[in-house]
Amino acid sequence: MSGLWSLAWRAIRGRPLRSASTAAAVALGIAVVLGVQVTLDGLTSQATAAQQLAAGQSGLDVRVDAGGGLTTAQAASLASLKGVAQAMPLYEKRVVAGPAGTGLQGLTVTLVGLKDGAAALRPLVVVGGRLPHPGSASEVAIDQALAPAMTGRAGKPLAIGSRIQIITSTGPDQYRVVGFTSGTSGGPAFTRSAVFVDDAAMLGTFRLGLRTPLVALRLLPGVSPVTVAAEVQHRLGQTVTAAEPGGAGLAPLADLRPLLVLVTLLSVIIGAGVTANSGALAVLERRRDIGLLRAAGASSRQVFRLFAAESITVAACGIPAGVGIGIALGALLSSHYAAADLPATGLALGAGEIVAAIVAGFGAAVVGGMIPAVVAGRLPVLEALRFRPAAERQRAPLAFAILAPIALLVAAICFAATSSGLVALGVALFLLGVGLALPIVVPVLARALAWISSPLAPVARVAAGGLQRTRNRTALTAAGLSVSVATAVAISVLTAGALTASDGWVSRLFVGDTVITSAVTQSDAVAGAIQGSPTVQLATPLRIFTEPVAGTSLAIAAIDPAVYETRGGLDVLTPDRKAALASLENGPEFLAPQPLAAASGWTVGTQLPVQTESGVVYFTIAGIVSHSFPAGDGGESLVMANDLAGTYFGATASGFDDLVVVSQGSPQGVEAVAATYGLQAVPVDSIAQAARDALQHSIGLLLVLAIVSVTIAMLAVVNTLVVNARQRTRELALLRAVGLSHKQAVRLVLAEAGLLAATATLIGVAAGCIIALPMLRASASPGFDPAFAFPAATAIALVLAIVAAALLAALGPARRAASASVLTELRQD
Amino acid sequence: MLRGISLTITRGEFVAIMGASGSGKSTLLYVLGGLEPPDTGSVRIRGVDLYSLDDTVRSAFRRDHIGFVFQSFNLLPTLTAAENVALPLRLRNDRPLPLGGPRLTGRDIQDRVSALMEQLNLRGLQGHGPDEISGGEQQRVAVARALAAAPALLLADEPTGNLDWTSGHEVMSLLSRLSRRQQQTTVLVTHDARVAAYADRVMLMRDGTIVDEVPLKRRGADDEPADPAPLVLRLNKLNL
Repeated sequence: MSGLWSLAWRAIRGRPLRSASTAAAVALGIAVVLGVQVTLDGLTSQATAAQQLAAGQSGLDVRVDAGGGLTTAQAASLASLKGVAQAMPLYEKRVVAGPAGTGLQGLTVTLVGLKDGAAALRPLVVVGGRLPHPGSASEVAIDQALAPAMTGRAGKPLAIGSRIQIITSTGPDQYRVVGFTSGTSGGPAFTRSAVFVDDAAMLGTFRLGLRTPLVALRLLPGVSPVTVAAEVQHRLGQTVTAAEPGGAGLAPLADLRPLLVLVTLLSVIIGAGVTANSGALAVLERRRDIGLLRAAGASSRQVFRLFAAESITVAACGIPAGVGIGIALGALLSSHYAAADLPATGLALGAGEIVAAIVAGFGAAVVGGMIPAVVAGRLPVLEALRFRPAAERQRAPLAFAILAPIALLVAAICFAATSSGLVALGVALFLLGVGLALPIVVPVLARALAWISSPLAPVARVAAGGLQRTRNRTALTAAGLSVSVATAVAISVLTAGALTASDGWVSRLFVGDTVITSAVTQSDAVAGAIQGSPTVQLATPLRIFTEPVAGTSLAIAAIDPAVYETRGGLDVLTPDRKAALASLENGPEFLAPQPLAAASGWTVGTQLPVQTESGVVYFTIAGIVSHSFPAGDGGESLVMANDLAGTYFGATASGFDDLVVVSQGSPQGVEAVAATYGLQAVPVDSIAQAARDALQHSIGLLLVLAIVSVTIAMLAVVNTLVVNARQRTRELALLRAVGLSHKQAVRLVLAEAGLLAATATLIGVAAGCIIALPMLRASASPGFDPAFAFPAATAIALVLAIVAAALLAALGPARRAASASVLTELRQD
Repeated sequence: MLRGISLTITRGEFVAIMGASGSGKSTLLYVLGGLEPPDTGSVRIRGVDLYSLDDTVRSAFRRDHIGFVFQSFNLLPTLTAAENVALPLRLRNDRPLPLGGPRLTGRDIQDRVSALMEQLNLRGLQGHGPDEISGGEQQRVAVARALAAAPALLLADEPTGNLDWTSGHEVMSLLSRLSRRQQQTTVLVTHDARVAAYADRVMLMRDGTIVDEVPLKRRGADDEPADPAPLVLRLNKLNL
């Protein structure tokens, strides 16, 4: 080992605690980057794998949603396309089905044809029994979500071998249940109300009224789906859509990604800050050594290289642990955030991810370590030789005092902007401004806290004086902690705001206290029967179906506008709420959700061609609502009156999928009524809670990362506290010589630790609240208006945890410093 | 601040500088050692104008031609006694030599360190850390380090300031022997006449200038001090 590396290594070994905590900070920085990458990649690959599994052998889906779908001639034409190995039509039909012996009564279910055990080249997930034999005209397999609804009135659960009846062109015919399938997203998932029969039965018994909405194309190896899609459009025109079923880009946690990137970056920067702080402490502690080295002939460049070598070595020591923790963190987060209904995939870990994490975490730490190394190299020799820690009195850098207000002012201007990009820039500038202002702000706040706490801790004022004397070191230490606390607080505020907004959203969509849900569309008669129940005060049906609107397949929600008008449901942005809801009854009119209207360029009065049973009818946009009912594809549905839906779309729009109920007395009574029809009653509060849980589940990831950031920042605090205590040893000896007791000496060091931690945390809490305000505004959208609420629990928990951790970290050094021999210390120098 | 100082020190000479606190004696030492550039004037060692060199070359010159001994905190705490002694030689090997000179092998360094520690009666302390040896031993290790590169000039700033009389005497005897037997040019700063009595001549400083010079006549062996009486008389006369 060359001379300088040997010296660097000795210095690292000479301060094992600081070296270890610095390496730990670097490791955590690397771990956060790697963990987040592994998590996001894992979730993406899981979703992609599930999508590819769902797509089966289909390389290209050709769809026609209107009418009977694709004609036999069109399907045959697709089979003859160049590059197409197989064209498999999906036969589908809506039929009435029920347990055997229920006459003509039953549920409307979707009959799906199977060919070679697959539906449109998609494999089926069989959870019990088997699929109908090829050519069988008497066997069915049922989606497991549908089974409970089919058993309700018969009183006996469907089992393998049970018989059900389906209304065919010849009347109710009986079929034997041979298996149950799973309608999860891992399977074909055409519908959760499917009854599967063989194509032979579809083309035989059920031939009348058969639809072919999809032809799945299996492509020859090496053939581009894009090329075939273009050929399909060329041959069949724009009435068909051609899409790659397994090729759509998926981005789980997409909404959170900008914040994830921000928090990850902060972790890396704070990790670099810990290295910078550690390096600065090393330079401070070893000024005399630097002087000796220079006197012994070391050039300024050699001194720089010595400290740089130390930083690089310590940071490098953090790499293996960082990679290990990152993989563990990624595995933990991946398993926590993976969709339970999708097949699990292995850990998405590649050399690229590891290298990127190391480059980010280690690179930032090295950059952070270079700053004190440069300072060490430039240190005047005599100043280093003559340095006395006790005489140290730092002044706030003038440049910081000038730049801080400028950064804060520009941040304030950015906060006033509406662009989320400018708001993000404002947040970054604000945190920078706070960091620059810390050498001035921390001593002032520490003194104020000391004054407040002086009745309980008389030594606090002396401790505050110590922090003021070393204000730059204090500020550098506090910076990471304040920024990480600010991030955690801002995330808490955003979470609280989003949860409140989410509650409002749910309550505006479901204008009752209970929602009765069904796996299949139920008849209006069932709705009437439930409405007539003594436990039900009001029951309003909700039916969601899909129709071609303006050339695109869109979900339409049929509601009773009068009920929503009376009970304050739906947040109508324009025009007047009452007028908009009333106009739905007047003719072919829709309420459009704002996100869809904005994306499509629709305004009030826009007319949309809609394919109805009687041909194309032009519907008018009667109003824009902030948000509408979920469409099932991640979007939101159009809204129309349910009686007119029946007029225009016939049986397709009749019945209900959900029944929103206002209960008469206890919701338990509603549950009992629903159960008699094989339906499930869910309290609206549970829906709201589920929405809250989903939101908290997602945002929880950010909080976890923010807490890791706080932990990283705490490592810098521990380093500084140890050095502060060590440097106070002689001062404490002096104080003890004039009467300070051992206990008081310990308390003095602890008071300094507590003040530093409390000051940095309080500044972080305040900064977090300030940056949360524009972030809330930026995240708001029509109907989603998260309000600010001070996160008292988070703030108190952070202050208590951080102060406790600081006191704990300072206890050992405080005892050592207070126990040092007074005579030995006073004899020094 | 130093004013109007002109000083020539010949090879092998042992010069002491005395004066009250703030008289500029340590500053003069640092100027001589290339640590503090003078506003005007020059310092020449072996014909090289020290302050005409840039920082890197001057550092290398200091490493190879000047040895420093300080009052306290003399040793790097993370290195053993032997490693402290070897420090200037390792620094020399770390970078290309701007002033030329051979690159030392590990064996060269080891031999040089062993020889110095033997010579300075530090045998057996090679592996000890600074906190494991006495103050006098620490200071002798510091002298060994200062001599490691065989410097033309040895500068000592209050080298006995933190030592008891016996240890201080050991160190001063050592410096005296080095000067007389090995022609080691030495400049010593002290406020103690008994320490200064080991030198060949004593410069007396006040307010940044040399106000007097006292030659001392040695008595007895090479490592014995001169009679400090004339020096004390002169100090009293000048009220220093």
